[in-house]
Amino acid sequence: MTEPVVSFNRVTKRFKDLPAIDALSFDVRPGEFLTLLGPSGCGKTTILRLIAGLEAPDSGEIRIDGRRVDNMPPNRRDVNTVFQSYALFPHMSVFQNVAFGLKMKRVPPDALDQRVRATLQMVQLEGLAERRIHQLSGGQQQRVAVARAIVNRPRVLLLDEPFSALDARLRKQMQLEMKRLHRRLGITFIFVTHDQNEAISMSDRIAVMDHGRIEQVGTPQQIYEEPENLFVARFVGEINVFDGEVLQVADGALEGRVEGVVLKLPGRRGLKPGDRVKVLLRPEDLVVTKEAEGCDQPHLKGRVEELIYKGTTVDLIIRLGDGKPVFATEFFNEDAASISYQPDEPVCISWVHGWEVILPDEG
Amino acid sequence: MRRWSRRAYLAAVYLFLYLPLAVLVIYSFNDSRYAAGWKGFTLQWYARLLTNEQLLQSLVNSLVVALLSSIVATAIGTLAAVAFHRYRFPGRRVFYGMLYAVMMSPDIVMGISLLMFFILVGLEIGLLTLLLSHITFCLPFVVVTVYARISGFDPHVLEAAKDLGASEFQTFRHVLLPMLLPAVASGWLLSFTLSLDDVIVSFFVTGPTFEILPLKIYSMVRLGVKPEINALSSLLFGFTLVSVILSQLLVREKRA
Repeated sequence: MTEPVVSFNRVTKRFKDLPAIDALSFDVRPGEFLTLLGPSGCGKTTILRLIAGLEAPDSGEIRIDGRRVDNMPPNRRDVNTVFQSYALFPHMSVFQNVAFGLKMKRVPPDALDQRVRATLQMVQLEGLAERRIHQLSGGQQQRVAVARAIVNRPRVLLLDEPFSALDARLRKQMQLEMKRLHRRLGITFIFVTHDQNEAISMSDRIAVMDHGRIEQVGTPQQIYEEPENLFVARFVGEINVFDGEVLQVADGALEGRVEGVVLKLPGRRGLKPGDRVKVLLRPEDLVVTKEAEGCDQPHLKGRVEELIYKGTTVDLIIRLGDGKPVFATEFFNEDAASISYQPDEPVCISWVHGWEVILPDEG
Repeated sequence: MRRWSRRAYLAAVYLFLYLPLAVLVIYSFNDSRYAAGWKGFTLQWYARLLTNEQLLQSLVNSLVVALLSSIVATAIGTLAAVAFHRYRFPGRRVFYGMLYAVMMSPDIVMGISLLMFFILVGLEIGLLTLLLSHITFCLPFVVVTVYARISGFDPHVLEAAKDLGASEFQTFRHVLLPMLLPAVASGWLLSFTLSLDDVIVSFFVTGPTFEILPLKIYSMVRLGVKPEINALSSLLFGFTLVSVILSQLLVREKRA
């Protein structure tokens, strides 16, 4: 096991007695792209500021490369930040902004010039070196902020919602460039966002956060397909949550009642007959069949309430007998060239056995 | 019609502001001892001014005091503004509020209280007491001007500097100070002019050994306004006009 590049050991930070993060422990592996994902106010920015040294923890240990840094000032840490507001120096040119860190480290002028130019090229700003900051577009300022941080070749690059001010197209493009930079530089990236799509498409690992705690850490696939609790399931992507009850447990499989229908469910440790559970299914995992065409498997019954055409998919909102809405996504394919339902048409909902996620009901 | 009335209004405002100054400048070239109508063009008052050593000495004294006190006030005031912004200490708000009390208290109160203070601590009235007084009343103006600008900054800019490896001093020297420069410059200019034309406070805190221009003029006009004073005032006005234009040009150069 390689030594973590950043490690938190029961770190707590309070603002006016409200814990922003509470006894938090986690490790960042060298070279990985780790995303801290969570709603605003969940403490993810506080973690970045603690790593950068812009805040000091109230208790606990923070280590960078095995060295304790709790009270080391930011200018002595081998870590650089891309701020959400970019925080560029308005009185300097693009070149001077990027050169700032090297100048503080007294890098000789020749080497400095060469490294700044190489970095500007890496972020495709080589023609704009002499521009002033206010002459640049938002996307260009963003690139300057990135260049200013990576030119120092830090151990860890911290990115605090760096794309939140960009429009959707530019954001997509910057996400791709950031992944490319990450591969090329081999620097550890710690990225903060509240955008789950951004997190899923960019990260090696995601830490989903809520109220100053990490709810789950895992690869994007683990987070999406095997959420460990309802918060993670609901925060990452659309998901249907059905109420269920365990009826029987036998040989690692369950029999349960889901929304009033008796079904076979995959087993899960720690469940016993009588336990209330939540059965989770992604919209794209549901199979919708018209009742008129006959439904064989055990299924839930509902009526089509709304049909939303999305280009490559059609989203259905189906109302169950007890009034609970269910979201289902149908893909166009050869054998179902057109997907059409009458309003209020009765349908059956089923799914492939084993694709559901079963969580104990937290109450 | 609307356009015409707008121009007339503008002209009236300018007339109100600058007519008295124009009269002063015109009379400085008037070939007459008294302000009683135009008697022809002359430069004799300017020539006589150059030979009036007392008056010139007081002008030099005034410039020295204004320059020294504005520089010291700007240095202390800038650091104070940075401290108000950077540190949270007990009494911070009270201290900041007191600055306004100093700015708004009547000159006569300041003059008397400073004089009593100097007598109390046994300082002899002269250049030193004058300097100390001018620094005192200029200081709040610098602090308020500079603090207003710091408060408008993105606080992350200073954090970014530290994040990139700058020490506290390097952050001040390479980021904070250059960004504050316009406010520091205007704070200095404000101090310089306040110091240069102060009469009331100076009246209390300087003695006959060190005479400054406003007081000298004040004592001279008690015997009637002499044309030399018109000439001197015109020169001062011209000096002010040129420095204002220069500073405006410098600011515009920066923006381009």
